[in-house]
Amino acid sequence: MDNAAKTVSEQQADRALKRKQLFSKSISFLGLVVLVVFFAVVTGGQLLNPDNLMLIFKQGFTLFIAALAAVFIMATGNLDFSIGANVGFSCAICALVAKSVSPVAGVAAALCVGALIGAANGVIITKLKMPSFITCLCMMFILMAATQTVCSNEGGSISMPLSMRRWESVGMYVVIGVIYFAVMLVMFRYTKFGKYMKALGVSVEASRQSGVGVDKMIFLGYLLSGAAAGFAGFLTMLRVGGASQTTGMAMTNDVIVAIVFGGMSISGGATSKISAALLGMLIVTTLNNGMVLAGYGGELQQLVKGILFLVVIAVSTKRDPNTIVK
Amino acid sequence: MKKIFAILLALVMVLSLAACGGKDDSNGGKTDAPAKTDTPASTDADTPAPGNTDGFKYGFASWGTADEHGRTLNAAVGWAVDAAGGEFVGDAGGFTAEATVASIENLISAGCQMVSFCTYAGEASVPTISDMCREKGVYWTMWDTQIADPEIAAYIAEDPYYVGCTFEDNVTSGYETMKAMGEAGVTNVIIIRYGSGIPTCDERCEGGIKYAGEANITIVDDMIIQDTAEYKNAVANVLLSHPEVDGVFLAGAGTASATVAEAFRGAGKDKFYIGAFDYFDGMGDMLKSGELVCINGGHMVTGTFSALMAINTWQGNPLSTDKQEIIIPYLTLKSYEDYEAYIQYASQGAAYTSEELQQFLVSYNPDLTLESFQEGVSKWSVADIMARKNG
Repeated sequence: MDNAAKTVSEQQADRALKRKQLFSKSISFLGLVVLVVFFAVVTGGQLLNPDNLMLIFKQGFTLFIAALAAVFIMATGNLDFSIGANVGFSCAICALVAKSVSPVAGVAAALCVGALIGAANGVIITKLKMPSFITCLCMMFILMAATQTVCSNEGGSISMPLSMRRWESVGMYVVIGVIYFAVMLVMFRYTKFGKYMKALGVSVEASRQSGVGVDKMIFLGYLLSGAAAGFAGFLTMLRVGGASQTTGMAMTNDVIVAIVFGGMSISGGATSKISAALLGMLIVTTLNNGMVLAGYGGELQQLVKGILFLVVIAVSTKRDPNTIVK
Repeated sequence: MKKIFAILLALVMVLSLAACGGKDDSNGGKTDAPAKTDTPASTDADTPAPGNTDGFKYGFASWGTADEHGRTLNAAVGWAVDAAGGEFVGDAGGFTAEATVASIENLISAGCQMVSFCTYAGEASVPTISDMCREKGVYWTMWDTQIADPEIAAYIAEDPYYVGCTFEDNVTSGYETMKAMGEAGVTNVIIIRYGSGIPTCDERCEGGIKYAGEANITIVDDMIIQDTAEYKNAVANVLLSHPEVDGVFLAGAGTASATVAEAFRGAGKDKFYIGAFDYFDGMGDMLKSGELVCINGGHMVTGTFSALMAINTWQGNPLSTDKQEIIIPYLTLKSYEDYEAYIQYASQGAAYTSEELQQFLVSYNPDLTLESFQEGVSKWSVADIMARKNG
């Protein structure tokens, strides 16, 4: 009798735990739905206007590119604080080379510079055994200074060649977005690289004991993040029309906020998911766009973002990162 | 379930985008530079044709409203738009060019018929914003901005929706600021720039250096510091090796004046003078003590007059067939009395009454010309405010 009663109470506890876990896992998605419904009502449907949806997609695209790659780093429990500065510097180099050599050379330069910066982060962290936090922070300062120097030598900002204005199109965004997402999804979910990154987030030592090449994985993670930042730098240049001393300055913050809004724990681990970048990008961009459409400008935007961020962090950090990595 | 919803949502977005992309192609490709036309006749149903005197939405992009300058700037523009019978829509997106572009996009999407911005993050984004406004048939102006790049200037000169810009004579203001410092007794000065390659900052310094040369004021150091929190340490470090320094010329970020004064006091100096740009909370006390000899600000009206220029054009009453460039003087405060007048009459962004602002609109003042507009703007000073308020 006691055993049966215990089983029932255990079952109830299990169900409650599952409901809690489901709520915890779904909060980001529910948040997006609530946001969309709220702003759709407040703006009289203006938010869901196809032109505005296109705007949200375009505004969030660069963030999406950088955030997807950053998920790999965050899965290991680390953060890449140099993303924004990398975007800014790659953007400046892209504009400079595109202007002085050729547009195609500019794109190649942005990707190479971004990847090199990522590789430098990886080498410093793995070979010199520097903490990733400090390394990326130092790299951020170096790159910010480099961007300012490059831009000020060109009169404060660098305009891209006017011929490159024709490059930007909705079709390009859709094709790149779909292919890029598919590749990242496969890499994160189905390759050893992606699984090892999550495993590192659970326990570096356990991963090492299991034969994971920790240094190699960390190096590859930063290389990927750097290359993506370089690509985001090129896209930023296309979208804005050039580079300036402040380009990319808000990107690091936006990437971290987006990934956490997307439902990924800041401590990484097995529960890390690539979709967090997509979901987070939609939340952040919809929030920014919806606030303006609804006439809520200024500091209210920051206030709402800050409160939401706190709520999501509070919920997501309760998750157990020690789930088995399959 | 969640995944299904996520996929559905993503599909809806992709399909919407594809639909929009298809529509663009049928129009000849919106990604190409918009066709150049001489007349700004909009075919967009959402954009009223010139001559409209109905209500309107005026979009204003800035970095924020938390500081004195941002707060008064937004308030002053809102006041002008209100006086003209419109609705003010502000977006404090941030300090980057990406944020400015996104702000303008969002403001246009919010239904604004006119938008305005400043190039504090560089000029490179101006052609992009020009393209967006031409595509949507939205009139636009720039405040506190004068385009330096001839290629960009030529590009926007062809844009029928570009109305013009407002800016200050920074060289003269820099000159006058250093002059006020020299007259107060400064002989050895540090110049601090808030950035490099920024025309506004460089022009202010150019004027200051010019007067320093004429008056034999020694420029002990000319430094670039972006982080205002570092101003105090920088000045303290120079004072260690150059105790003869008795003045600091701040080309911007006036808010750092208080910490610069602390650096002087920390070095045991009680006689020093600061000349600065950009108003800050606490400047009254520093003007009273004499530590601050000159502070230039009040450029919130650059946004105001940009708005009035745009509204005139949107209402079918452009002040000129060419692009309008209006020079606006700074509101220079050199004494505590000046400060009191500013606080009493202009600090809330309402330096002009509705009736006074309406005199800058052809719909209220049919005799208004570009010359009389410029003349009215040029009066902007503490004395002008006092005369209008008292008289």
